[in-house]
Amino acid sequence: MAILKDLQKPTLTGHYAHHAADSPIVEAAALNVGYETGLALENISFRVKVGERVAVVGPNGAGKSTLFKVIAGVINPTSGEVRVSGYAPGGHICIAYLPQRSQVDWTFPVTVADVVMMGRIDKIGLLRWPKRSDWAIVSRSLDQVGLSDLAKRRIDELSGGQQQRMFIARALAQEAELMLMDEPLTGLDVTSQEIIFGLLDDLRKNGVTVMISTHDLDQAAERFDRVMLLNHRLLGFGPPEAVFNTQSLLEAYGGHLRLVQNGDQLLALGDTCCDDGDGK
Amino acid sequence: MNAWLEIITAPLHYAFMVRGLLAVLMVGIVCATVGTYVVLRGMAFFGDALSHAILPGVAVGYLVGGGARGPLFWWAMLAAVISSIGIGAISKGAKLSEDTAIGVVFAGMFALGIAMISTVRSYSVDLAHFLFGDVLGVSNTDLLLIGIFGGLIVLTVVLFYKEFLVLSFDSLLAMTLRLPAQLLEYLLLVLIALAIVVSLQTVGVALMVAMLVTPAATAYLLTRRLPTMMLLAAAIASASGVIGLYISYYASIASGAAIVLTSTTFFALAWLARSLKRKKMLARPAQNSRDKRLEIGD
Repeated sequence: MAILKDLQKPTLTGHYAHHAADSPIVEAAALNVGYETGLALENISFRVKVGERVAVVGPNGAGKSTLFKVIAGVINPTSGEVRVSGYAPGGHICIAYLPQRSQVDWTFPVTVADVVMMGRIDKIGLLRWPKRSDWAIVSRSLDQVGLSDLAKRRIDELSGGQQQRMFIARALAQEAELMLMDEPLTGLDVTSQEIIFGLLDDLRKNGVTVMISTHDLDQAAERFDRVMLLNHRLLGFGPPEAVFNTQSLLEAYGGHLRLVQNGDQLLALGDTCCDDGDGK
Repeated sequence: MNAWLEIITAPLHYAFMVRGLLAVLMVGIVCATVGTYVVLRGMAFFGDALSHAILPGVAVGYLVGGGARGPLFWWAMLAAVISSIGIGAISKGAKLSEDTAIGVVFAGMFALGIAMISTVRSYSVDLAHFLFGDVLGVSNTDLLLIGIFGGLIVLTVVLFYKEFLVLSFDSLLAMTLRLPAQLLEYLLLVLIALAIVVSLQTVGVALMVAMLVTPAATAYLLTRRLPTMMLLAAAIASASGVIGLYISYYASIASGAAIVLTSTTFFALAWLARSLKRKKMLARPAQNSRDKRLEIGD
């Protein structure tokens, strides 16, 4: 519905992109992204279907954040292309990028509701103020993630899990159809993680596609439809049992991952993760 | 009672004091509004550098106009806009860290300005005015220019409030919402530059950064919502200007310095108040239990 409405609304950058009905929501073809230090992403091709929940795993510096930023249309690939619902990502406003919590200035003087309202700024339009309907959407979004009581709180009063839920609420207010979450689970306790997974289930019901970067291989294997194993190159993309084999994991992590053969099972003991403990 | 009234009204018999007071009131509001973003985005060094960098522009105006004050405003504005956009380009293109690049280029421009002004005989008084301000020399034309451009700056900040908010808090969100992020970024730089030009005569180049940063930083200590922070910063800045000017009148202190010291005092008081409040909060067990409840709710 929201898409139809937006199609007619011109922005400074022109009209919002159409969504081709039978296209995959994300399609990358021979994607290369170069930084000065070398290639961050090399020859990446894949497709993600609408409503899928994909875990993106790989060591630090593997290019996970870069991949998300290319999909979001924030970084341009050096060569190759990304299409979101059949069109270049730069024309879409239905893509939400949820930042790593450690990248956010939590001392910024805004409330939880203020941050969620930020998701609507483009829909509100230049030189206009939020309408009652916008506030209604904000409060509904907060309600969906269970943060209604904290709407008026300053953001530095939130715990790590609440911070993450606030960003999900912002993506909901944005009416995002594709959410790219950069390490949302890192540093959260089990209870908070379960709340997030509950919200992810709700998103799936509503047909929202979610790509999550994570360091938790166990969770990636158990709680996601498909797993993308990334280390500059795409080392595997498919159901966890197909992707997580000794060779691919060693290729991705090198010596940083300890693999233990336990009967028929392969156990991975810890990756290079960086639990920097930013969760409060 | 009458004695106090006399203290307040006595300087108002002088037209230059009235003009000076009006100038610091307006400049306070303008600088604090823009300064809120300077503080939140950690651009204090940029503001300082930019204000120093407009000196060559002022110098050209000074040389061309043969000492006349009229054209200075426009030359300063030209220099400010060029410098602020230049800095945007430097920080994008430079291989050095942004800090270093700003430091090198803008110290050089400052020196160039001083060199140019020093070619004029008996330059030292004028140079002192450029560096430290000359609020009592504000003319009616100056007031008009401050009013017009100050008004435009504040209006722009209000009109683009939500866009600047998103850009400052989360520039990636601004980009995924397809806002013209780069354009807004430059607009903000230009607004800061214009605020500096508007305030040039009140505090001068050397103390400018205090006008941008100190009132906004004081407000930041006292409140944690952006609109309140802006209003409070504007109030503190204007009050500092007025009080500072009175102090300068009665104690015969340089006006720019008096204004800046007043706002520094406000900052110190706010810091003290906050520290005391924090201690109190830590001592109160009720506060802690509320925080615990928050954690469990997660």
